[in-house]
Amino acid sequence: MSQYKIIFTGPVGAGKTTAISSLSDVPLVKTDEAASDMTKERKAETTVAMDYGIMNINEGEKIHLYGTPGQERFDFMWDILTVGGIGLVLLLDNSRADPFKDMQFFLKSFAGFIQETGVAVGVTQMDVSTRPTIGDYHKQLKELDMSIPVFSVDAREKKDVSILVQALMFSLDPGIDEE
Amino acid sequence: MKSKNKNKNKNKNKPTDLLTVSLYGMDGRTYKTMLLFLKGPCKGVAQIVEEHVADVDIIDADAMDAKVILDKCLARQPLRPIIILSLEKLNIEHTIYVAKPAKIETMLSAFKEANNRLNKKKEDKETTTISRKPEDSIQVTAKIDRIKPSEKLAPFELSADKKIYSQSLEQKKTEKHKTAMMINERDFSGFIGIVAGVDFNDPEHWRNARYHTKHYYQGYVQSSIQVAYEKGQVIKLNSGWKPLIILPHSNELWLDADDKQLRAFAGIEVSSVPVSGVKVMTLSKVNPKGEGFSTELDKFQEMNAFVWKLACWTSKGRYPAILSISEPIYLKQWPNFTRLVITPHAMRIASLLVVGPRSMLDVIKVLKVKPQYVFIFVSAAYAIGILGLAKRQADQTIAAEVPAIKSVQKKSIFSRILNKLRGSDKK
Repeated sequence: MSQYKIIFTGPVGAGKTTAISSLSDVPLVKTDEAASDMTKERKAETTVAMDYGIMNINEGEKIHLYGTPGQERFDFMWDILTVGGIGLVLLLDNSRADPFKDMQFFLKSFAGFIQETGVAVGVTQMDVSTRPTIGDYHKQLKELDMSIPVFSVDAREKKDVSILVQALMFSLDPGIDEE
Repeated sequence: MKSKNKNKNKNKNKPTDLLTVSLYGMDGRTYKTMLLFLKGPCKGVAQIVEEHVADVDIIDADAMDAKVILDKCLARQPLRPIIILSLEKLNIEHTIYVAKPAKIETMLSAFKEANNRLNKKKEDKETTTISRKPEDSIQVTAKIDRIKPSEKLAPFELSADKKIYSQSLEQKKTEKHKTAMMINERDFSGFIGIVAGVDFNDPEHWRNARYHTKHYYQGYVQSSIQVAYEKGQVIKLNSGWKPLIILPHSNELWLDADDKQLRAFAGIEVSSVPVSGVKVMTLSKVNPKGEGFSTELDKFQEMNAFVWKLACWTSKGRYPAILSISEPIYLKQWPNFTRLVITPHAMRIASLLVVGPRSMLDVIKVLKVKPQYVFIFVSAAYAIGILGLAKRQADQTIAAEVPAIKSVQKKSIFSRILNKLRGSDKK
């Protein structure tokens, strides 16, 4: 039976672990450690290797949900994690100093994977920092010649994460049927 | 008297107490940065709290409405210590100046000074009442008038009309940050409504399934929004129904009505002819500070989310008369689906139209969906300005292309993931 993966990436504190927890049918396998670098200013614990969850589809078929560690010094893992992935979910924290820079960094880092599959962007913390707006993200993406889904997301809300992943599926293939 | 002096000396030597502070003139991101700055480098010497329980006010004097905020803080009785952060050196009575970017030492020193003032006030309270000269605020006004807004701050955050909300207040705008509502085919008619006289099963009727937005509340709302943005002014739409306040600087609307009431009003045709010489709908300027609406935070709605659902309830499955069902249209960007009413097949339609232009007839054919689902999506997307008419030759060429179809195996897994997600959402 084929194994499929959806990869969740983004900067520290963007909500990757929470988003995977929202979708996973099993308790999350986490590799959190107490933050020791500048990450500790944003949260007490951070993912150092990866997060792993499972979405059971049917008859034993599983979708593996992988979350990359947010810190750039773990970027050597990103290529390994994306092998066999069907799409990328990029989560961005709108309250960080320069979310556009974050977006460009991750889109560039995963450019090869995105080219082969697809990406959907979820912007978190929009109730904390209302700017930039979703429209501002689209303007930035237009300059990169990308028309991809960009949604406001509360990673704690299963429905938000679900809609984001659904959009990723449709952007991969607009022709898929809703059975 | 002897004992009072003893207390004074004691206060001078004691470490800075935990202060409760309230922040003003800061957007969400600056607010969060300050929160982290106080918690981290400043070692939690001050804690951010709601305005009414704070010991100290901290104002970003480079915000455009800093003058108003400072006047308000100076008018407070009893007067609190006020820390002002500014790029320009300011010497304003009753305030403690901290140069931007704020350094740890200067910030801690400002807190210490604020703490001393608070302690002094406690002592003075025993003997006398603090009186503030009325000319204080006038003096402040004159000085602050010279301050130019910082270049570093985005112009959209600098509005004299915009009330500065703290982070917690923004989070109380529950309607604005509400998660999407997904409508399936079974619930469509019940939720959206039906239009008499249009048989969607007969393709001959499809061309007649159109409506003029200007004959409905939707048209008036859209025109009012356009005026508010063009003038950069907070505007109230008086319709004889519920007043609608449009806040262009924050892309918000305020309406004292629930969705059920809005849905009912959206479907009613509005006469454009004045009744007894009085116009049906009028616009008026609004002073946000004087209106009193700003305290009812749950009535704020995000502009696009509001217009989107209003268009859905006006359309009821019809398309805007300005469009043709046989001309190619395209989507400029994906709608922010997590905050919108998602009508049946909306995501499929979006994913197709974002790839390239197609006519509504073509979308119906390719996706094999009922026309009203395409029409209602087109109405809503057109209303918020993300759907355009493809008029260029190049656009027509794109229309001929078919989106890349993944392998049957992948198509099948995508489909099963979708069903899983949609099934889980219903639980």
